[in-house]
Amino acid sequence: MDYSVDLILKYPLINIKSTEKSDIVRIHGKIYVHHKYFAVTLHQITHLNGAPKYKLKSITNVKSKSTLSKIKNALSTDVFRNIVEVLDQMNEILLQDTDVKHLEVHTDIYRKVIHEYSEFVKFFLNISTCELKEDLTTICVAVTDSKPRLHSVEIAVDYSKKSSDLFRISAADLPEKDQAILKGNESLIALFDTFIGQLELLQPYFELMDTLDEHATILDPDKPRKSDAYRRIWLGENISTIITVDPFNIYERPDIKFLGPDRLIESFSSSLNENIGKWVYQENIFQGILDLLGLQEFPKKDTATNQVNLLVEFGECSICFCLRLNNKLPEIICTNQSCEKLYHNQCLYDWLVSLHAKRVFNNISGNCPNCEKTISCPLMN
Amino acid sequence: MTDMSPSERRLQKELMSLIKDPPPGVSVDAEQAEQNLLQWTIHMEGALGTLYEGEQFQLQFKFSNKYPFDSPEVTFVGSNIPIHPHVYSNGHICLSILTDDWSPALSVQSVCLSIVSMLSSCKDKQRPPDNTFYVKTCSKNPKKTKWWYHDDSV
Repeated sequence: MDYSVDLILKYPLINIKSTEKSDIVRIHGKIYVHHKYFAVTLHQITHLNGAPKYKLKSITNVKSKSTLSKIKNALSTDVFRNIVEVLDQMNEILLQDTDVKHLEVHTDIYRKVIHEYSEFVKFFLNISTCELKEDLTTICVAVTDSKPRLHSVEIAVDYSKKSSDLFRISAADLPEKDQAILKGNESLIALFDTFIGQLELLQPYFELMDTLDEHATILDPDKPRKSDAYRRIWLGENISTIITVDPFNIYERPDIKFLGPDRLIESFSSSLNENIGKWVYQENIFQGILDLLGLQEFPKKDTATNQVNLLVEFGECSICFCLRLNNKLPEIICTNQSCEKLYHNQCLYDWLVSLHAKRVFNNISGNCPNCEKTISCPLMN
Repeated sequence: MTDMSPSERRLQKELMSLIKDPPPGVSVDAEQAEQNLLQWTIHMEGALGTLYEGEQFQLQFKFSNKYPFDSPEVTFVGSNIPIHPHVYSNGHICLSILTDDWSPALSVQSVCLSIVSMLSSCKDKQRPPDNTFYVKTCSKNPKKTKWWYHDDSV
C-alpha cells in the first residue's frame, strides 16, 4: 500500500531523499509532538528480502536519555512496513515521556503557587529582584541584607508531593551546613522568613569575610562566594596563610595554616603560638586574626612591580606553568632553599611516576624537576 | 582558557611569553604557531662574537599532547644547518636535555638558550665524526636515537 498520502497528512514536514548509496534513503525533517518540534534524521536501509531497517541519525529536543534509548530500542527490535509506522512509534514514545500531561492535573496547585507568590512579593520590603518562571517551577529572588549585601536564592516548587512542603530552597549561596536547615515549607512567606533569619544569623560571618577581602590580598578563592568560609592570603613572596572560619561559630578562633618554605613560616608560626592563648571571645575578629599573626595590617601585594613578564610567576606551578589546576593551587614546595619551586601535587606526581620514581608508604619521591634535589609528594589516584 | 588542556594552556602561555619577551637573537613564527600549537618554527641568529655571527638558522619544535612530561622534538630545518660537532647535517641535535635529561621545568625558552650557548661555545666548525653514517641510518625522529653524548664542553 502506498503510504505517501498518509505521510503528507500526518507528518508534512518530513522529507525523503535518496543518498549516494542505492540501498540507503535519508529521511529528514520535523515532527510535532505536544507543542514541541523535534528535528529528526533517519536512515532507511533496504534489504533485498524482508522489511527495511531504520536507523536514528539524530533527534533534537530530547533531553532524557531513557526516551532516546526507548526510541533506539524500538527501531532496532520492532518491524516496520514503512516510515509512517516508524514516525507513529516515535510519536507515541515522545508523547509518553513528556511531563506536560503529568502536570495538567495540578491546576489547583498552580493557583496556590500564584497566590503564594503574589502575597510574597507584597510581604517583603528588601527584595531587589524577583521572578517566577513561566512554567511555575522556580522562583528566583535577590534580596539585600542590612549592610546592604546582595544575596540570591532560588526556590523550587515541588509538584511531586501533595501541597505540604510545596516550596523549598534549591540553590542559595550560603555556607554548606546552612542549606540543610532550610527544609521545605508549604508557605512561601514562611520559607523565605527562615532564609532571612539565617542571613541575619550569619551577618558577623559575612562582615568578617568582606573585611578580609577588602584589607588583604586574597590568592584563593579567585572569586569568593558567600559559601567560601576560607581565604588564602598573601603574606609575602612565597608565603601565604589559609584562614578558615566556622560561619556558625564565628567567634571561635579560626583555623590558621601557613604555606611556604619553613624558614619563612617560622616567624609567623612562633607569633601564632605566642598569641594563641590570648584569643578571647571578641567583637573585632579581624583585629583578632591580625593579632594572632603578629601583624599590624595585611601586606599588600604590589601589582605594579609584578608586571615583569615572567614565564612562571610567583605561586604558579613549575610544571604546568599555571596557578590553578582543577581549581587547586600548587600544594608542594621544593625544600631546597635556593629552589623553592612550587608544584601541583598532580603535576609532580605524574612526572615522578613517569620516571618510575620510588614509592615510600603513601609518598613518591624523586628529583625536583628544577634543582634535581630530592622531593616527594603524596600518591594520587 | 578554561576548556584548554593543561598541556595546551602551558604551550599557549609559553608562546605568548616568547612573542612578547624573546631571548636575544630568538624569534618565533607567531602566526604559524597560533594555527598549530603543536608545531613551532623558531628563527635563531648566530650570537655576536661567535663562529656563527651573522648566520640565520631555523629550529622546528614539535610537541606531543603529553608535553611537558614528554620532551619536544627539536631539529634544525631549512637551508642553513649549523656546522657544529653536535649537529648532524639532517638537522638532528645531540643535546641531552632534549631526551634523557629533559625535565618539565624546562621550556621552549630554556631549550633555545641551551642551543644558543651550545653554538656559541664552539671553537671549531665541523660536523660530528659519524655524520655520514648517522644521517644514512637514523630514524626521522631524533628522539628515537639512542644518543651517546659527546663531551659536554662543546
